[in-house]
Amino acid sequence: MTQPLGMKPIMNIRSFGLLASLVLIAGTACKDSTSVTDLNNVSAEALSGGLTRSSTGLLVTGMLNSTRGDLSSGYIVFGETLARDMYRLDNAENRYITETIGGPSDYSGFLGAGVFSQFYITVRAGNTILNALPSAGGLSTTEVAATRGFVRTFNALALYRALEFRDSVGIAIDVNHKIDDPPAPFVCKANALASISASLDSAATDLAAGGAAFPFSLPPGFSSNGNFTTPAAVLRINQALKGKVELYRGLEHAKPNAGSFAAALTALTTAIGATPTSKADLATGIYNYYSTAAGETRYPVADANIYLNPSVGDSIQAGDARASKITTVASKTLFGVTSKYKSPLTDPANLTQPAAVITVAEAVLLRAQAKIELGDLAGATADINLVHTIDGGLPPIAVPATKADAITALLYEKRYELLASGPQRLVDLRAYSRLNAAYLKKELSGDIFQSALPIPKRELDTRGVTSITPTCS
Amino acid sequence: MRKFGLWVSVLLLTVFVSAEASAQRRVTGRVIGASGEPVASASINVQGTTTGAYTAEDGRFTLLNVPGGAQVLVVRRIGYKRVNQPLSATSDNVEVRLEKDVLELERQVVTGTTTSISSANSANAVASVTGDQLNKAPTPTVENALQGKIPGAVVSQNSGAPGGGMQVQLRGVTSINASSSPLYVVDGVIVSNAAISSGLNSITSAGAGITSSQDQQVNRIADLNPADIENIEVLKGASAGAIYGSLASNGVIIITTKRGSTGKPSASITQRTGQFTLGHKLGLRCFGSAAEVTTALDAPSAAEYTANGGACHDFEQEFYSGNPLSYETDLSLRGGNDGTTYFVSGLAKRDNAIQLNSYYQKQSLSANVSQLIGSRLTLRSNNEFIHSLTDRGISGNDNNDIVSPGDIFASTPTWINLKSRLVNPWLPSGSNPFQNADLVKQPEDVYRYIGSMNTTLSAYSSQRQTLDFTFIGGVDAFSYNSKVISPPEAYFESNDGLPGTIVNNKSQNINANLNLSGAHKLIEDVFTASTSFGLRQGRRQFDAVVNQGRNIPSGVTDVNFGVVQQVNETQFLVKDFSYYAQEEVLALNERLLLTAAINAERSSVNGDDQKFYRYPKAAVSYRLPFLPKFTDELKLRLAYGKAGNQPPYGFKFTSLPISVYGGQLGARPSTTAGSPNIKPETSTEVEGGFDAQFLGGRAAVDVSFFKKNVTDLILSASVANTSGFTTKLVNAGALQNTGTEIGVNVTPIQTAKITWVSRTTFANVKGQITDLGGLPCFNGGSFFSTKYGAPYVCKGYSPSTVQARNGFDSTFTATGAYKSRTRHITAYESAPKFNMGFSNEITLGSFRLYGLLDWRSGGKVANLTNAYFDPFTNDGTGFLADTAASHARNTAVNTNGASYLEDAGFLKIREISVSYTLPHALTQGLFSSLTQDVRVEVSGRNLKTWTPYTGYDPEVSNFSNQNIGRFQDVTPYPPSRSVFFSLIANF
Repeated sequence: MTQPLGMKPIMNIRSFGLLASLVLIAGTACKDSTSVTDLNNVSAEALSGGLTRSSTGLLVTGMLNSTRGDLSSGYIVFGETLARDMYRLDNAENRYITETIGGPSDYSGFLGAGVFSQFYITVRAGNTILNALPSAGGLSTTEVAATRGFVRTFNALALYRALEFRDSVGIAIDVNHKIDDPPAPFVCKANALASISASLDSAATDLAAGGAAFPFSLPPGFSSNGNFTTPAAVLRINQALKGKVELYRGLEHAKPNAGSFAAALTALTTAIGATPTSKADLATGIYNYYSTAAGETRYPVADANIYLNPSVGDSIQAGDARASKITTVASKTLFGVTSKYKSPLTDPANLTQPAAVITVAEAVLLRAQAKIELGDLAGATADINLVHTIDGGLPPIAVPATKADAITALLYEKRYELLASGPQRLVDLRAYSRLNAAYLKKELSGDIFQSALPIPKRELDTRGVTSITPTCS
Repeated sequence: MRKFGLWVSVLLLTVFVSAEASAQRRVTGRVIGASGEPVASASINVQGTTTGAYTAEDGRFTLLNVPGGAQVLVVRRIGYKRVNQPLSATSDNVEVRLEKDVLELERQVVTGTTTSISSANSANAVASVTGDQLNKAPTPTVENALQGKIPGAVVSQNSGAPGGGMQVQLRGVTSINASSSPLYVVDGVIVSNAAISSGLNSITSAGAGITSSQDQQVNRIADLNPADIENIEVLKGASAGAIYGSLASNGVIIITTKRGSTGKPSASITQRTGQFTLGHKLGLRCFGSAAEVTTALDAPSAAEYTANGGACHDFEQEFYSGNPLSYETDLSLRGGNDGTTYFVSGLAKRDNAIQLNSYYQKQSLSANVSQLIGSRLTLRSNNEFIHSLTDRGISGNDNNDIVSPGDIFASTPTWINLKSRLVNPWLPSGSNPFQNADLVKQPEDVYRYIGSMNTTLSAYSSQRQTLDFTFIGGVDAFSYNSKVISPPEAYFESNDGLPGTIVNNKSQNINANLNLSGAHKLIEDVFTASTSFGLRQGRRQFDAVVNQGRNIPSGVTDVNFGVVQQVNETQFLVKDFSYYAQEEVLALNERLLLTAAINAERSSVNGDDQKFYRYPKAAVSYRLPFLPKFTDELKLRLAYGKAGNQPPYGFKFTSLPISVYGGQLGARPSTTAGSPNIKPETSTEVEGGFDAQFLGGRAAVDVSFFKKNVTDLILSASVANTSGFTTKLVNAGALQNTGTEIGVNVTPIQTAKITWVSRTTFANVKGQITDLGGLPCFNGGSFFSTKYGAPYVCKGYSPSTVQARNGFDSTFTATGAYKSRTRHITAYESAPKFNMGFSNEITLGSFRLYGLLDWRSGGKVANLTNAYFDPFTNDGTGFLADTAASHARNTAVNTNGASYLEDAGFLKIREISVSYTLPHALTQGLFSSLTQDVRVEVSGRNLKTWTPYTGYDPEVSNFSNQNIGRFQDVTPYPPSRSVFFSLIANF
């Protein structure tokens, strides 16, 4: 500002007053607090004081919510698509077809890199509790044992789920480390199963010593079909998982584990308890509870784009009550795949139907598989018939002549009993070497009958490698 | 504060001791133009003193207190070349003749919050765009108008939807995960360029949550009224912008709005009317026969084709045309007297954009008033009030169900009559874009006030010294209210089991800043020293409350009707505080300029919120005294500076995410590890170059080279997922950008009748990540897959690298069964090799012809739009007209494992306009005798593009709000071209 002025006193009173007040404003400004807290979240420091009874409950619910999320749309849809039960025909996303039955999945996209990290997030949620338990205040020794057994059981479930999709590719097991520690090595399927099995054993010991009650309350899905809110009841869930893990340890191609089928039989028999006689008995188990309330999770496969493989509708036996899981709709062709069947299990309007985590029905069929491998076809048939007659509403089948026939009968039962509930059929087809054109229709020319999803690119990148060979001991 | 007090005392002391006196006289004079017309508002300064004055409306001026003896008067006026007029010892009356500066070489360049320097001395290449250059062709929003005009700036956009949504990137990628936007300063107020997600995601499911970054956000700088802008200056990097500290690493865009001027009031009215049309069609497939349909799809489809009479609907034509005319009215009035000046303006505009029922509507009112109180105190108040209302419709990425028009066209054969609004039999829900456009409303309503109070106190003034104090208090407050109203009747709404969606987004943003500064100028015979110092306090606050209601009854607009409710609130508060001081010394007869400055700044977003981070700056420029033939000026310059980029809010915290399960609260450790020690990124830039003028100002060349190192990069680094974490936030690594910017301005013809001004800009940037702090390379930012193209962050690679699949080797067992596959991944460069702009303006009597060509050479875009169209049919011929190209791409991508990357270079006719000034006699007869001049103009924007790119537009990206990965084209709102007719009258 140039002014045509000569010498004047440096400042008049008014100007000085103004300047002084400006300096004052600035001075006041300096005294303002310099910090701003996290306005959008609860700080992780909330837990820095050690675990209490209430924070244990908070973290267990958080871990179970993570477990609920693990049974995701991808978990069910990718698993059931690779098993040729279900096709998601979505005009906006051809990768549901092109990367499942159209060719190998892309290790960088949502599918090939999917259903992976979620399980490790759950495991970390569990490990956070396990690491803090020894110094927990306000919990008795038996409550600590009960909590440890509970958390370990669900950690084992999360790792098993990761393995269902990665199979021969291997998974990381020894993951309870700090963020800047070297990443856990990938181990082969046999090692992973052995490790999960051992973890379940240790959990079983804790649950057995866990007293009469948990120091936290459990979501509705633990008491909707039977009561699984006590350490003793959760031990049954633990045994069902143990049986499942042991069965597939025995069926592992590269390194089948001797003694696993017998161990599976024992564990599953404990899990099943009294022989089921009703639909309610078969449905006994733990479920994911869903709700449309604010902040809650909705049923993951309420999805208008989901169709069933035509063979699901075409192959069901006449009179099978489970035909109610199949509806005939207008035929749809997309990306070379045609279907005219949908399922009420994927009805988009059905947002709150519970999803089974594990039930007596599945345990019974797993036990049938163990019996088949142990050469007890009659026993296996008895188990198959439990489901076949009660849920299928069909007359019992005769004892199959061969092991292969028994497996075929078992696969039929599992297909319709566990339709749209996860990758069980993928796991079985793989275990019985039936994931190929000899048993399944090749829908698309590029179908390579892929049996496992790759290690995600992100996992390879963060390890600075382009491939991983799992270690096997 | 203590330091500040000390500063003031020292300065005051200097003022006291340097008293001087000499014989003084009064000089009067007149400033005129080439043809003798008076030049108002020219500044006249007695060289080597602080004595000066401005000319009045009649070009006359009076200088008091002119020292005795021979003097030199420095006469300046924007738009004219500077004149150094000798004044003899005895003269007390002068006439000064100014020549037009058609190349606009003479201007003031910002160097600090209150200081500026003549461009003749500037040590930085500061790009400047005048209001006139900005408004040569009508522009929807201000960022549009910057395209092709600033060397070193790349402007990309989220989509072609109306109302903005563009991002300016200066001198390459400067950060990976911190802010990508330059700092915008309007009349001294740091304004928000926030991009707020409306909640469109609630119906597109493009990402997770109620809102998503894929909601086609508008960057809110688009609110400004381009017609109010006097001038935009672009400080491209740290060497020029160091004074803005940790906000300046991405460059600073300083916008000065128009001010009043003394003299009789002048008014201007501009009326524009125009039309937006689809820029480029993809071209949809018409099926020629039922047999063709059977081959491509199946027999039932062929039957449907026959039943529809073998029709072929051009969906693009039907959906992206037929919009009504757009209009814009600008009014402004400026004037002043007796120490008061004012500028008042108003704007009303409505852009009816190409997509059915989408529009952008804006009104603004501005009042900039300045008052001199006494002789020492100037008060200036700038106020702009803006209202904008936009409905951008649905477009872009979508997942479930299909709502994006591009996606629907990719999966619906053209024999279906979508225009009928009937159920689309090709989608499970029947989703029809015409019905969606009719029923789904998505108004984004913004009320914004940007205002500042600027007080300058001339505390002391003498022949040799001045001391001014300036106080600027400013506020930028806006309220963003958006709704998504999607009634249950919309076919797609049935798809999720919760028919009908309402999203209510109420966001408030307040930026307030306080700036207190002092400027002391000491003029000695051999040098002029300008000292400035001050402090700045800033506060930025944001709060968004987004409510979502689903399963709503028909006809309601309140979110509470939703059976299923969800709420999300996001806030931030950032407090910044800084001190700065700057010394500029102009010496050796105004040939040498030395600058040194430092800014010390703290911010609440830093891990240590008490620590002051220092940003120094130093620069030198020298105008060579001995010049080659035909050269008028040759200036060498070198500048060095540091600036920062603050950590995003919340990066220092590790949260405990809370969830609900069965009505119980649960918590699980966060998958993102915050960094309690996070600090700003530091950008250190060295810029050098020269400016030359030739042939008496007929030609000018400026050349700059820069090298910029950004260290302590703020990275959202991937962590091995098996750890249970996904991300850790760290300061790690560094990147380097080097580049060249050249501007060539010439006036090939300059006669009384014809003037031809030609400007050419060239810029290139080469970026490289020089360090990653030991982190492994990763795909950063948002992306879909390397199958299409993913941003790749890796040491030794450019930060704009795209990593894409490039074939594979499959291995098979002895029986021919698939065994495994080895992927080939290749790194490509997504950024252009260079950008050039060619602008030419020819004035021939009353006619003016202007054109701007924008050329981008090189670069890649992942065309995911083709990924939607190509694989649709069973025979791989797709739904685009060019079935052979689709088939080839299908084979390349889906069989042979190539990617969807395409070359994205282009040449665009960015702006073109022809204007004619009506003869004065006619004007006066037709309108009013007050009329000064009336101009009619026809102008076009983006009228023609030449590009090998097969999508709508290579400048569109689904994720262009992030620093990296701005190359992903997913069924966007197609960019349009526009033609406007304007009538501009000045009174």
